[in-house]
Amino acid sequence: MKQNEKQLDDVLDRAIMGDEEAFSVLYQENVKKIYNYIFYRTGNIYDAEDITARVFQRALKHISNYKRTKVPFSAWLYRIAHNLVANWYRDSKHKRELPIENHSYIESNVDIPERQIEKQQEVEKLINAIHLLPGNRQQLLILKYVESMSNRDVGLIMGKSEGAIKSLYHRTLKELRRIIVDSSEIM
Amino acid sequence: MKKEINNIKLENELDNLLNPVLPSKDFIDELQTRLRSKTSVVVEYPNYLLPIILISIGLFLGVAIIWVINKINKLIFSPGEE
Repeated sequence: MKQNEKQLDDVLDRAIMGDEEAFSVLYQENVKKIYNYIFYRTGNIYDAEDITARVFQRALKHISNYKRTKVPFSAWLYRIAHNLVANWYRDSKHKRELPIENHSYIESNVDIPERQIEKQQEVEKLINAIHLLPGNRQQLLILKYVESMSNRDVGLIMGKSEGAIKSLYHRTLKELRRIIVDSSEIM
Repeated sequence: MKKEINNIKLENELDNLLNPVLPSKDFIDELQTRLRSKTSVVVEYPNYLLPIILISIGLFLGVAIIWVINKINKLIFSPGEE
């Protein structure tokens, strides 16, 4: 594990110095995570691909200014993604309620087609409810559930303490529950 | 207690429904190619020297032709005047 971390540190140093191959390694290491984050924030493949491309283009352009800290490199990419998604929301307010497009899920234990459709609808409802939360709360849920990160790692990425994340998480669950209850009452 | 149960239910739902998705392999490969080619793009500035030389030669020839025509006109009309 330590060996791998050291290798990634070397790769990061080389990428900062302008080594294209090293940047490719960082790209391969992070592209799926960043794509997942953006997909769950935007709800469609087209925008997820477009914004993911812009995240890495921006990272490539500014990597020479990247300052090494104890925070993982992915935190920097998530911050770029978070800002670009915020711009996307600002520019397309009408897109707040989106049908989640069919996607191949990595961990899907659903084989029966009827159950798949049912699950798709449940995912859609849940994502629409999550989209009504403020951006930082959406980020918290996606990192915690899609990326299976601990509160500590989420805190590193969001620039908050573990305690602050724990408290934000409980407030987020409370608000999400309220949104789900409200939407089911309307229906 | 009820609130606690609701939270657990919601957490289970989040856990079951929010699964990682797979981006298309074509997209990943194509973006990697785009990122690589972006740094190797050479910006070629237009070479203005050749057009400047051609325009200068054209202007020079134009002036020269007008001068020659004027000279010929003078030669043709000057004997009659004498």
